[in-house]
Amino acid sequence: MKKLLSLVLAVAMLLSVTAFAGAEGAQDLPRNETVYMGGYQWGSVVGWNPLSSNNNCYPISANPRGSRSVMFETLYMYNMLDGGLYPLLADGEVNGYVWNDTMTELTVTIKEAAYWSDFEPVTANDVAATWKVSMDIQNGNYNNFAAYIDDVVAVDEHTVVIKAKQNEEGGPVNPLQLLQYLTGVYVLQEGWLNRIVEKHNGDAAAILGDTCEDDIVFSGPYGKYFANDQLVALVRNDDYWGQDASMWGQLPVPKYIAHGIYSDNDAALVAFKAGDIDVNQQFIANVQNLWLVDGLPISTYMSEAPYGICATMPTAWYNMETPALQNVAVRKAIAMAVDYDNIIANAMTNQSPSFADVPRSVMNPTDGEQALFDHEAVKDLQWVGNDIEGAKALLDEAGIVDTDGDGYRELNGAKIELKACCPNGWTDWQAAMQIVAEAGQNIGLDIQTFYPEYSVYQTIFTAASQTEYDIFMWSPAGAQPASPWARVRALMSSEFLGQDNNWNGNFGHWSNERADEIIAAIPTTTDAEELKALYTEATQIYLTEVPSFSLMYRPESFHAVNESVWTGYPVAGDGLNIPPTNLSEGYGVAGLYHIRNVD
Amino acid sequence: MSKGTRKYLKKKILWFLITLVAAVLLNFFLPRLMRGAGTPMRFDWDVMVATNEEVGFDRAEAYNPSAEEGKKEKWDSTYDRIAKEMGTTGEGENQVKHDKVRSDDSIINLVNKQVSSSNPDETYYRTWVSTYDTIEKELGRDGGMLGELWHFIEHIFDGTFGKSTSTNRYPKTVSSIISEGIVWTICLQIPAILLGWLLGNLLGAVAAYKRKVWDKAVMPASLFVSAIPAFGSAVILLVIFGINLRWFPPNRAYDPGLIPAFSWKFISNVLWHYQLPFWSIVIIAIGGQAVGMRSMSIYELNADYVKYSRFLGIKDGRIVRYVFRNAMLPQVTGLAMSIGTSIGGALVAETIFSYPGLGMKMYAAISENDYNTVSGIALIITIMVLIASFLLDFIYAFIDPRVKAAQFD
Amino acid sequence: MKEETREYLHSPKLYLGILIGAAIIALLGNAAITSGHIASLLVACLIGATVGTAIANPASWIGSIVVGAAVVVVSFLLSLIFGGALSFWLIVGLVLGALGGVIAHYIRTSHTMMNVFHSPRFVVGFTIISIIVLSAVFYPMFDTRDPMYSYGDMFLKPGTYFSIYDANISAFNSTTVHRVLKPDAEETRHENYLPESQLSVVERYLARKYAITNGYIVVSDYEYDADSKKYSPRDMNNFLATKLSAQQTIIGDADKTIADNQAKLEKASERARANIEKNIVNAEQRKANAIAAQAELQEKFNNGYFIMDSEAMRNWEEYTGINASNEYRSELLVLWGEEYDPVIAAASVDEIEEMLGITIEDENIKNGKTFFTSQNGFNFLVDDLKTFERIGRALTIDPNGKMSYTQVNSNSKIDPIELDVNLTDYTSVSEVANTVNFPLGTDNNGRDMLLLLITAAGKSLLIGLLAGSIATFLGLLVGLLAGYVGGKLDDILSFIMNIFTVIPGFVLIIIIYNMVDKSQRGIVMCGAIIGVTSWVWTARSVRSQVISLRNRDHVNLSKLSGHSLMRIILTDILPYIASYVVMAFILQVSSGILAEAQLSILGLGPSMNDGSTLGLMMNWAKLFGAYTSSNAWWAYFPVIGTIALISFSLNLMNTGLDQVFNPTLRD
Repeated sequence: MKKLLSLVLAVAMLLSVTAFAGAEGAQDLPRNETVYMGGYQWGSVVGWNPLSSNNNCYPISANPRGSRSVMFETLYMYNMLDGGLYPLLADGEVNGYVWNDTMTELTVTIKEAAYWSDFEPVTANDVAATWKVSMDIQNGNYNNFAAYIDDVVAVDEHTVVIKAKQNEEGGPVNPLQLLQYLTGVYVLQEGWLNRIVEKHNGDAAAILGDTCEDDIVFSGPYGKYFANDQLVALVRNDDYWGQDASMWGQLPVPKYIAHGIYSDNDAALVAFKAGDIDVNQQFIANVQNLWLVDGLPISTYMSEAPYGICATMPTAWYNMETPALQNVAVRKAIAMAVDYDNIIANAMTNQSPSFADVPRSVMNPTDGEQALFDHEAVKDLQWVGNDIEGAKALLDEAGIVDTDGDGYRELNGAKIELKACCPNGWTDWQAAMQIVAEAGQNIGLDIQTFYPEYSVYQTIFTAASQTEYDIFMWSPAGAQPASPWARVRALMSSEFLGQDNNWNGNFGHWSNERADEIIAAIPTTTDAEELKALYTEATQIYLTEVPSFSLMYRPESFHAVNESVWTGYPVAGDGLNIPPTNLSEGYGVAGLYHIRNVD
Repeated sequence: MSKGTRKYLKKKILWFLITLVAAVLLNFFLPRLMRGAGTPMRFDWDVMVATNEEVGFDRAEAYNPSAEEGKKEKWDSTYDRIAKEMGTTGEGENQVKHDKVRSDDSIINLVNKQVSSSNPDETYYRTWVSTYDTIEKELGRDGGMLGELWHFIEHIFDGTFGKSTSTNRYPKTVSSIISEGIVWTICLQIPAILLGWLLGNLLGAVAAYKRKVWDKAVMPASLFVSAIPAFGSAVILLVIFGINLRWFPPNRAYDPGLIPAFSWKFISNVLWHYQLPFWSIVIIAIGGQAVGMRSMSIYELNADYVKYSRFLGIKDGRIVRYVFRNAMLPQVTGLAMSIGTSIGGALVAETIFSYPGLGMKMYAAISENDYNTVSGIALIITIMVLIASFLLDFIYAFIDPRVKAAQFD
Repeated sequence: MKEETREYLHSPKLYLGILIGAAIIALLGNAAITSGHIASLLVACLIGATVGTAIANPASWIGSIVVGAAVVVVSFLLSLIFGGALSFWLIVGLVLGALGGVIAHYIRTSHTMMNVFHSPRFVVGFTIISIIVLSAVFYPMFDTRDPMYSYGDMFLKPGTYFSIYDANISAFNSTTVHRVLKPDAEETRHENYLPESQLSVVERYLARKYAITNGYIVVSDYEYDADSKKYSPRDMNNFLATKLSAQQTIIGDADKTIADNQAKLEKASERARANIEKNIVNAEQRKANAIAAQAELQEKFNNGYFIMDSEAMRNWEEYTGINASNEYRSELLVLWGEEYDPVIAAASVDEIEEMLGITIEDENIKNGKTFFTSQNGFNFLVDDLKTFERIGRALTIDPNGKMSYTQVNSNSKIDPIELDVNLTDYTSVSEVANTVNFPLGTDNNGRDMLLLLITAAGKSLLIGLLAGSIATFLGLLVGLLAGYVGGKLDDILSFIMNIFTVIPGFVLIIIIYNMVDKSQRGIVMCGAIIGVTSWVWTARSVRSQVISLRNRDHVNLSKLSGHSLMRIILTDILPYIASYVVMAFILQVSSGILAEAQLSILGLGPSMNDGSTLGLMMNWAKLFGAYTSSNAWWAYFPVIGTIALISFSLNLMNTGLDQVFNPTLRD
């Protein structure tokens, strides 16, 4: 019986291997020439088509907050540290694009040295062709930019002009969206585009569905090497144009970039600790214990809390249709009474700066955004939190006291009863709402938590008008070329009032004409001082009227590295100004040219 | 083959076929009952639900003016279907999904729309709806439930089991997803069940025959070990041998950098990764078998023919071989049953060890409402179990003449 | 009144049946009321009534109806009089009292019960399971804290936590301060602040990133052998070989690129030709640099002056026989900076000088081009060394880089924490105002693990009981009908049984589960779903037993005397397999608990609003990385242990009963 069993086992093993006979002669990835990413790819790759957004393939996914330019490249790379647009295919200096006087046309020149993987040079016609095909087949680019960009025209071999859609007075509908186009859209080769359109004779669904397994032309440093249900690997193209002095001046250091596919966060974390993952984009509770307690060579962008760069602010919105919340004293008192340090400790395990370190405003804690407003002017409006006495004094002074002795304050005769809501299962948000409710109870307002299912929650908080949720949570736009203006618009612009299924912002339906004027003025002001004044005034309105209040700063993508094989990753204060975006998003790609083997 | 066996055989095959048909139908219907089994398509949510006034034209007209009558109802039904899907695909039920929904790029466009075009023109609707229709046709959903059933059966025969209906995996065919995982599951489960079954029976037999320390100490210990739940044994082995002692790799089927190839280096690596999941299944399978075997062996040992053969002076060795052959019989049916439940058990062990078998694929499919893949995998398991139990009935007849006799009454 | 009814009214069976039936209704009813399901309340009454009647085992049909009704009435009466919860506790008290009395009576009289409690396996299993059940029922009575209350931090270690603030206050209150001379206070204090394990981490870090041997810097690839705690230098030559081969691969890659481009040059289009030529030039440039670097490496190695970066920092006498004097040192530091660690650590220059005990004159290093560790290596060391100073110790390093610490000021105050407290001041934990005791630590949300575990065990048992009873009931029903009636009905029912065995049970549960919206997935719904999908193996074995009982004499006799089908099944067949039904019920309960746990860990279990179950605790432990990132064994190990204990004890009871009912199996 024993012999039979071992025979069966051996046969089974051989069977399993033959089913996988080597794919296209790909060789094993040598450990010290490969950088392993983690936290992006959760399933096997469906396709490599840069036009479609249905690929489930993380190296070629484009989005405004900074596309990943390892295989396909954009004109510029967004750097969230200083908000600058660093040239990639485009020529010239940082933010080197040129506006015409009425800000309706944006001119960009293409680098001479840039060429495709088939050595054909990158030209302005490629940029124009990409736009034209995107409009025809109406893919992701169409969804994002059709309403803001009229046309993209190749003036000559190396200059391209982006024409903005104009409103009635002839001004641009939204100029900042043109900047998002520069960092968010991959440039594709005209020849390749024509080939794929002919292959499917123009049928949009067929083009989007094409998985482009064999015929791909790319301009980035890495090309497709191997992909199955366990691994996605890219190999360096040693003919990459970027080694030219006008761009990076050298090839990227790792020969391969790979991403292992794991069943869930848990398994990926075990692999990260074991050194199978070098750069990991994953929320790790108490990440500092990995090096302080376990003594592993793991580190984050910053060696002290909050360990990462925060780029988004989960915010609690007040519903203006709730009578009690129409009173500014109630809104401000609740915001003052909330214990933010408890939220940060519980939800983020201290991976976020407290409002004492970075005083509250409409800005992210990055230096670029903090420099955009006058801190002194808003100093007295900035509350720190857990100020129970201050909140009570504010309510008493506004005449909102407990008249019928039931322990809760009344406003024009009615007891103040509010519901604090967020989706069920989003545990860190649930903890935050619980703390908001406790703050209300502490100052005599009856706030209760309520956690509906996400499928229900998303249809109600985005409704044109709703009375279900009084205080509810969502995050405004993260770090992208159009921020911080996009965030100010999301927090305060009344253009979204009455819009059903509104995902853009101002979910509490608050309105203020001065705020709308500021939001309209900012995109078209270029003078720095004027811009600073506008942002300062917007912060003042936001902190006095308190239409909503942010609960914590939170990184949009986490960045932790294991230095067993590679070292030299970007670190806060190393003067390289490379953002901690896992060596992939936006200008974070520059990190690939600085890392090196440990021994 | 006597007349009796032929009649029995005919009856058996008939029932086998009926069960197979019923299994196929059930595997088709049950997964589709999953709340709002959705269509895998990227769409711009707010564009699609904006009212006619906002859009500035009658959407039904834009749908396809030349199409047949009743286009308004067609459009509204499509809209309702998407509203339900939108409600479910974005479901962030627990922290893990929540993080995945917020951090994974491909889904983030679907869930929180940072940027949206307010009111695009008519052409957008026409292309968007036509794309939606082609996908509907491709999934065979345009003909209602029956059309879909026929489509499902059709695709069973052409071996693709239809296309995956999850936003992450469309348009991969279900058969490709299954073929990625089935080899690993078979190589993990079948040897583990066989070894567990064998060791269990061996222990049971020895405990029954030798009693003393085997029965008093080893038996209860193995009973306790087999009481540990499947995920418990997986977690304990992972923590002790995977994370702390580092004797074996904590997860995956082979090292990340290896490309599957027919080389000893790859095979040895696969075997090295194979140990923890394998033993986590074996140790909990032993106890269950041992109990059954022990009681059966004791019955047999006290049977009359044993006493009689002892009186005849037949050597102990020979008697023992007869006894255990008879005691083994009911255990054989237990083996068939455990193959069916193996995939369920595998689900947990594969998720904890991130082992790319059918269990992990099934877990992903269920959490993404990918009902086509769930049907495909459930069907494969059903066929495996059916064949196993069918064959075992025959083997049973050969092993135990008494059973063959009983089949005729 | 007929003679036997009067006599029956006196038999304890009747009252025992009523009380146990009422208890089951209260237990299940209570859960049904909390989760607001009227349907499950009715199911509870049905189960209670049937079990009560079965135990009372009245002779006639009318009797059993009366007893069933009595059971339901009694439970409702009590719940009305004493209010829902209180009636429950009262009934439990009544039942336990009655049960104790009856068991004593039964053991004295009935033979099988005596055997049951004689079989050691059954007794062991029974005691374990009753301990778990009783603690699940009674512990919450004594510890009335809300099990879901979150105390704060995640995964706190088991132990007593006292408020440092209150401890300080009691430190100044002379009545609570006592002088205690603990003999090994110094060693334990050091072990606590900088334990041996952490010391070895610091030591390994030093060896890995840089090592300090009285002024020389030993570089990381100086192999540190953990067990012998000795530094063995890497072989000089093979280090040069690795450095040279690294350049060699660059040359190889360059050659390959040049060859490829040459080939592409012929068929390239006019516009592409320029780019290809430029690319060839780049490749040739790379090749030239690599060759030059190799030559430089070899040349430096040959003349002994240039010691490979791993060598440069070694003690000269041991390897090259040249006594390294001062003038080499700054040059070595520069070389080290260029060759090994160009990235500037956050440390400032003076911190490094103070650390190394050397003064850096070299301008190159002074003006910001400090070299030291890459990443945060240096910061960790500075933190650890500050800890040394706080506990009055100094770190000295002996010649071969071995770290050791010497006591500087033995009984001085711990000044850095500015507490004017003597080292010998002690106060007792009981005197500290606020203390919280977590015998099993806390879980991911800071909830007390012990309390949560006990209440969760109770909930899981409830699910198991519900699932077990439904599954056994269905199994019995189908088994009896299929077995006894046979023919067409038997074929249909076995077909259904085949279907259920063929479709994997686990998949079935998940699919049905997905159909129920999350909010209604309470405890009762979860138990019902598991019960409905796991009755098949009971039905199969009951059917095979009934087939063998079918043509027994007494069955044929009652068939002849015209008894109805139901009567024959209930009175002639059921009692024969009653022992098997009890054993099947026990196994079903244990498989129900396992199924719930299996579902919950995959995130498909019941929702949390009815409180946590054992499976849900495992799920949260898995989600927050209890065994991956924070190796908090107390968050998952006891849960697995409890589940294993429950199913082990139930299995033990089962094998025990097996021995009782089949004498041949006895030990």
